[in-house]
Amino acid sequence: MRRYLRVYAILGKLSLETLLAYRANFVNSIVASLSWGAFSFFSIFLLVSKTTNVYGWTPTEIILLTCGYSILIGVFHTLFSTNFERMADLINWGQLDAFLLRPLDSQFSLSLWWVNYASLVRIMLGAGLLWYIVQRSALPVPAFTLALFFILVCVGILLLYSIWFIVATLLIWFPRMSNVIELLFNISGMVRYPGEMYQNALGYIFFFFLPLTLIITTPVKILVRKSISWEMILLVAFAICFFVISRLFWKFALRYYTSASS
Amino acid sequence: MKQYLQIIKNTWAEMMMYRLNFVLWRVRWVVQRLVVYFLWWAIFAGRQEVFGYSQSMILTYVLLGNIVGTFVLGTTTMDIGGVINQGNLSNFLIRPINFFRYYLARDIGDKLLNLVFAVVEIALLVFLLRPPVFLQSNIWYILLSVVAIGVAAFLYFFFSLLLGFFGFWSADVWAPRFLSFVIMEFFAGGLFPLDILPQPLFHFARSLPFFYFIYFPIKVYLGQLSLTSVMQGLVTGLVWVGGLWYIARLVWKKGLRVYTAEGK
Repeated sequence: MRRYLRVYAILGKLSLETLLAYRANFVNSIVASLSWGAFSFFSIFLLVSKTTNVYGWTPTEIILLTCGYSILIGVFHTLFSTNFERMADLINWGQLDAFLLRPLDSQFSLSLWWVNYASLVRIMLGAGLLWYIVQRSALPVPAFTLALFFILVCVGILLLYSIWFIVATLLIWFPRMSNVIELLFNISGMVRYPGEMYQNALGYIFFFFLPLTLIITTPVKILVRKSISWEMILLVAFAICFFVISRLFWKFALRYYTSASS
Repeated sequence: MKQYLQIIKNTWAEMMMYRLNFVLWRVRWVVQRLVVYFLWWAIFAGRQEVFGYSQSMILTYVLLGNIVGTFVLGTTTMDIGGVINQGNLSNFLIRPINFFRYYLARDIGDKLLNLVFAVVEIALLVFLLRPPVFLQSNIWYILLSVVAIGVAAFLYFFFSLLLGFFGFWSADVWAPRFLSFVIMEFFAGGLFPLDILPQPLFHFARSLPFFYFIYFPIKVYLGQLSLTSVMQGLVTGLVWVGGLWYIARLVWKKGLRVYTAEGK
């Protein structure tokens, strides 16, 4: 464990050095991330401005949900999404060999090789706005609730990561299926709205999306003190199950990796 | 002309080579639109009218936005930055082919294929979800909205071309494209009709070319604009097309002067 932490610290340093070598790129990425966040928030502010309630969620709660999503997706993009984006190319060109030959867990090195520091601004934007809304609306948030919120956000990130990794593992069989990563970006965007919205619209099909809808709604429900004990248990159970499945599926898939292009 | 028809055919063949990838691209688009659809459905729960729109008007806007968006915003010009940076532009410069027309032909191929799929997808969604949609009965509004979509397609083509030409001066073409896409998606009216924005912001949106990408053609279809406004909008859209075409040509010529054919 300590060795992996040391390796990750070195990888983080390397990513930072690469970033500082292309500063204009870094500034561009930060401006792009910040604008994306600002427009998302503005859209939500605008859409909920004329409503008093959306399936049991007040406008303030929906904005808090967007803040929570911004934090969660900011962490996810910082740690994982850049690595997922290059997975199709690595497999297609046979460059996965290098990851398999290293004395490191291949899932670890493939998922965490690059750190995208530009996405940190999304975390800051979400956290800043969340803090402001909590203060302004005088929402009583004890330290325990706040701690539980952040723990559940971490569990949500684990679940989201596991879902992405399971789907991305299919690239071993279909290396040209690069659009699957684009699709995952869109599916992740679904989690920013209340799950009840899909439940009412999709009926039974909703259960297929249930793990996704719990990812950020559960921590935010903790924050706004809604009764959610079963959702919390489900979120943790899904996260553990999907993570185990992602590991087993990856190991199974590697048997079919042909290293064709190398 | 024959060679450009062949380019359209080649674009189809290229896209059909990796069918699963293409299907995933379409699924991605449908997911994106469905989320917007469900969001509006939730906002309308128990209400007759929001922002001056009835439920059928807004759901028609969202579903039609899918078709218009897939046609107007479907493009292959996002490759241009990479083509320049990898030195592959040299392959175009030595061929007896016009770069602008080559990409226009590729875009036509891409747009037509996406349009066919979008129509089928929307038909399926309408069949499955049975939303209350608004069907325009005035043939003039339908025809004028088709013209507006054509203007929008040209407008987006030149806009996207210009973004690709960033590649002449910078290796980083992703961030400017992403940033412009975020701004464009917001001001094109893909998520919501622009007239729900606060008045100053709406007036600002009107002054941008993005206004004519999605919002304007759908408003024409919905019959919510007077004939004078439609004509004014079409003329303004055409002026934008001319302006962006001129700027694109200027940037292209300047870019070629700094092009060093680095890479392969």
